[in-house]
Amino acid sequence: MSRIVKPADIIIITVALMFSFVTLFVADALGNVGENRICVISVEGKEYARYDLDKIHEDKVLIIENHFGINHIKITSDGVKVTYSDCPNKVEMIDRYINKPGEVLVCMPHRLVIEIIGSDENIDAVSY
Amino acid sequence: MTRTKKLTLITFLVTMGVVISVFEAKLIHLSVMPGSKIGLSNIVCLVALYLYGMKTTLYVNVSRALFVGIIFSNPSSLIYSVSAAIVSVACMGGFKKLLKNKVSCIGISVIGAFFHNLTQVLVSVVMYRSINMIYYFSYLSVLSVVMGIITGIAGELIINRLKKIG
Repeated sequence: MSRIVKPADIIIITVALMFSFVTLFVADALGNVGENRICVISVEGKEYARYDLDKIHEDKVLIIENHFGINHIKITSDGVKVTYSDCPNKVEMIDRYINKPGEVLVCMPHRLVIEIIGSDENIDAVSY
Repeated sequence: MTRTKKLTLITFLVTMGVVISVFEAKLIHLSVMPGSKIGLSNIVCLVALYLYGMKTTLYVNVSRALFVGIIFSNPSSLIYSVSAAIVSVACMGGFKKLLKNKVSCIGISVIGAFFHNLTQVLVSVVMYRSINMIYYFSYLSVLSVVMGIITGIAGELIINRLKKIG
């Protein structure tokens, strides 16, 4: 194995990995300036709705139906979860809620992004 | 090399690439990003690059992306896979020429995987005008580096065998 590996390889691998970690920090920092936990739901890059998780009194189920497909998003004060999706690969239907700033649920085929950010805004809920 | 021989060769490489891509897509349903299955099909790129040069590899990889995108998967994901194919081959060829003997198959393979991923994320960011994808990029990037190492090793072994055959 050491016959194959050359010096530049190690450098390349290290740089690539470091770059990935830096990106992780940048992503984290971008979404987290503030106290409130806001859940932002976007379709095709455009914001669709946002909810302040601390102000949710009863569980809400948001049904998003468009030409991409159907997604049911459950929003509670404990967090957000996708309960139904007709997506072929159910990547976004995980077993737990996301509720911390920086956590994201993505359904690429449906161009759906659900993320929790920390924000200074004070809203109850906004739908578009 | 005669034109016919070259044509046959490219066809063969493209076919291999398509078959591997589709095969691994069925195995691993992990299309977090459309066309994100770079995985094993990069072995074909490495073989093409080391034995036949960057221009051939470009043809092979772009054809593979087009075939897989149009026939087997979502045509709307073509912009991701084709641009990623072009950029990753260009980077692989560029770094190979730049570093010559100081880099092996493994490093080139990691570069290919890394830039393939990076291009896809950048295209998503432009297409959706949203920086959200950057979260997934960090995870995918690490995965692509690991896959790059594996394909690099496989590629090196295959290339050595092929060189002996001639």
